[in-house]
Amino acid sequence: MPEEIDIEALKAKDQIAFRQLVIAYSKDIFNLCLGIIPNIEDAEDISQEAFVKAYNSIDSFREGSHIKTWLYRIAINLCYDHLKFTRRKKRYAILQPLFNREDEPIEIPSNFQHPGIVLENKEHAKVLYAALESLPENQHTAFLLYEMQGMNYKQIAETMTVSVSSVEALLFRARASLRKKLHKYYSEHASFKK
Amino acid sequence: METRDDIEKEVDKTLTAMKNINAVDIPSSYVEKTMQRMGSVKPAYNAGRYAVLKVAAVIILICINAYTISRLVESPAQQPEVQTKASIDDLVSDYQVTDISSTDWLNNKTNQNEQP
Repeated sequence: MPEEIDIEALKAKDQIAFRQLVIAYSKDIFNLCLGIIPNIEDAEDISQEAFVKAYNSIDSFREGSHIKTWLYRIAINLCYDHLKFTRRKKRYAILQPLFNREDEPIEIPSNFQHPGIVLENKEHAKVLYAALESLPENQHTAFLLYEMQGMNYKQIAETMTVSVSSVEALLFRARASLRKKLHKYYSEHASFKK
Repeated sequence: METRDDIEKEVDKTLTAMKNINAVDIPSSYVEKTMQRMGSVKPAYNAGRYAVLKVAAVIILICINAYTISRLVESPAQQPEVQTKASIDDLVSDYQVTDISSTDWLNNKTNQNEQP
């Protein structure tokens, strides 16, 4: 399906071409946003905003690049802008950049709403999402693209515009950091046993 | 109390939780809403053109103001003098006075008023 997207028509702001683009990639972009922001309304709004931004800045799209990778990049940036905005609204948020976010305790979000998570897996997913939020953006993105979107190192490297070895390093650091955080969380929260 | 192994198991389960997430279908109205949002966006060249027009309007206003101020600064005393001169001339012609120091014209006016 992606081969059918006519880049020239997109650059001419052709509505039919943009409709094809939305139909082709809406599910991927929506699920990507839902992966970063586990709230269905926010993910829908931000993924739509990604298409609107793509429409406005289609002239900056370089021929030869993958339109899907380009859309992913736009959506990821918008998701992190949204996360930064919601973090700023929290109390004492202005002081947070002074401290290392990786040392923050895991805080389970109250508005967690991901319909793709089966009930038996929900508690673990909640904890994982909360732990992911405290990772640096590039580690968070690499982990999501690998674990959730099922991308390989090369695809992640293209999407994040970094080298394959950087992706490997990011994934290694993300896993190590998550393991440490989760260990601490489960040691403190003794009620996880069913 | 949980053992270290229990904690390790929980950590492993949590780390693989993302692999078991199912892809979510988009809402039915998603494509239409997105197309509407795209349609409501003004084309970029219009925004640029309006910005240029705004800047041009501001520049024109600044030029007019600068020209006016410079004209006022150039001859600040001339303007009132002309006005004063004009008003005295008007007064003379209105009351038909040739010599300002004479007061006869006042008497004439009074006599005219006294006549029935």
